[in-house]
Amino acid sequence: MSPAPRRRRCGAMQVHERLLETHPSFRQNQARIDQFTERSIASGVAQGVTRKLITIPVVVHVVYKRDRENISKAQIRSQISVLNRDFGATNPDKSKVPAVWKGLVRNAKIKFALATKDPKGKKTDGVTRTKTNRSSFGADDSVKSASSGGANPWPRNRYLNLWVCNLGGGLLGYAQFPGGPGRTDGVVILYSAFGTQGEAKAPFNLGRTATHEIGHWLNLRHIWGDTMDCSSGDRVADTPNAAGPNYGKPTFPHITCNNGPNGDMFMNYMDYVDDAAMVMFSDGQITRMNAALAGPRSHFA
Amino acid sequence: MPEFEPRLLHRRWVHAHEEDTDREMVFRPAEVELPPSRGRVAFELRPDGTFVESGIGPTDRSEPASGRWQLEDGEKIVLGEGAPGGAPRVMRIAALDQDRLVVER
Ligand SMILES: [Zn+2]
Repeated sequence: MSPAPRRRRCGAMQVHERLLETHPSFRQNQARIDQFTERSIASGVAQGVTRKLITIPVVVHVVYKRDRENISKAQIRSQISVLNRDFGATNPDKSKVPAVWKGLVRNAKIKFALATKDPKGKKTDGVTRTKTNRSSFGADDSVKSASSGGANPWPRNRYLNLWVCNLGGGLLGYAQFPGGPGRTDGVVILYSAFGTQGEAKAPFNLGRTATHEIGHWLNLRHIWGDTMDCSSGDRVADTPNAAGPNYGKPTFPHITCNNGPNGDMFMNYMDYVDDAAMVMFSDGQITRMNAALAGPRSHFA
Repeated sequence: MPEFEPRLLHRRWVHAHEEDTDREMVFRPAEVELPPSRGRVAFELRPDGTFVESGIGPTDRSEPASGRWQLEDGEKIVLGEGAPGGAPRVMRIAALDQDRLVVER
């Protein structure tokens, strides 16, 4: 396990206090999930969860004001295909993984499929469409509620809720870790950073924003450990400690935090590089996602 | 030491990571429109010695924080306690003008 951040505790505390104010059980849930993650990986319970393929039913809530935000079914399907390639390690661009880390690439045995039954058991294509009068949404969860111009989630124990909308401030997407409140569980993605066609725009037009956000939804952390120094890690042993996010399309190796000669694993889905530059989950990250599916997300296993 | 007008610091700066080099980080005033990004660090330096920042949170939401800042030796921005995913705590200024702040990594 990584040590707690050694500095700037006040900021972390501030964020934490805010979460605690709104959701008193968040701290306990997170601590419990962390303990479970460690224990279940040590005992092999986590790894056992994907002995067979796990299929996660997905509902895509399209929330739009302008026509272009009401993305096509083809664009949605292209995103589901990307998820299945990336989590199945059948993405052709995994050839970009440096030789030293090729051995860490493997099939996570997690599949995503648009829901075929709605919460009432009626046939559905797994897509809801909601016209809103809001020109954009922030990262405040308002897109997740009909009362604030968005769309309500489907039950989180049966579906992965994926909201697609216009996000303000240049934001591409955001997620929620396991253990958070049910009415906001899921991930939100900018309509032009979703899928590989239609409105999708370079350099975020290969569907990797959703891969990254669903990584968070399955309890993955950023590979730099969320402090802008070397003081904390991502709780995964095979991803080198890194100082901060990498952007764009870096060249190998990029060394920080004494992590030479190979440097940052910037081609990991949990870094901040362009879609074309992120191509892998590591073995250790997959095990951590397995632990989420053995514990807080066990309804899908 | 670079020559600059310290009061030019008093505004909100957003990380224009597209313009970074291996040795320098580039910030642009908040009024400058930047392309979409998975996350950008930003901070506002106020003349009264306080700052507010927005760091990169663990699930890609921005993480607000605030504290006190000072200019040290006439060339180093020193930020007090703030967001874990915020700007570096000590930034030596390499260049500063109306529309660009460049600091050494
Ligand atoms: Zn993230």
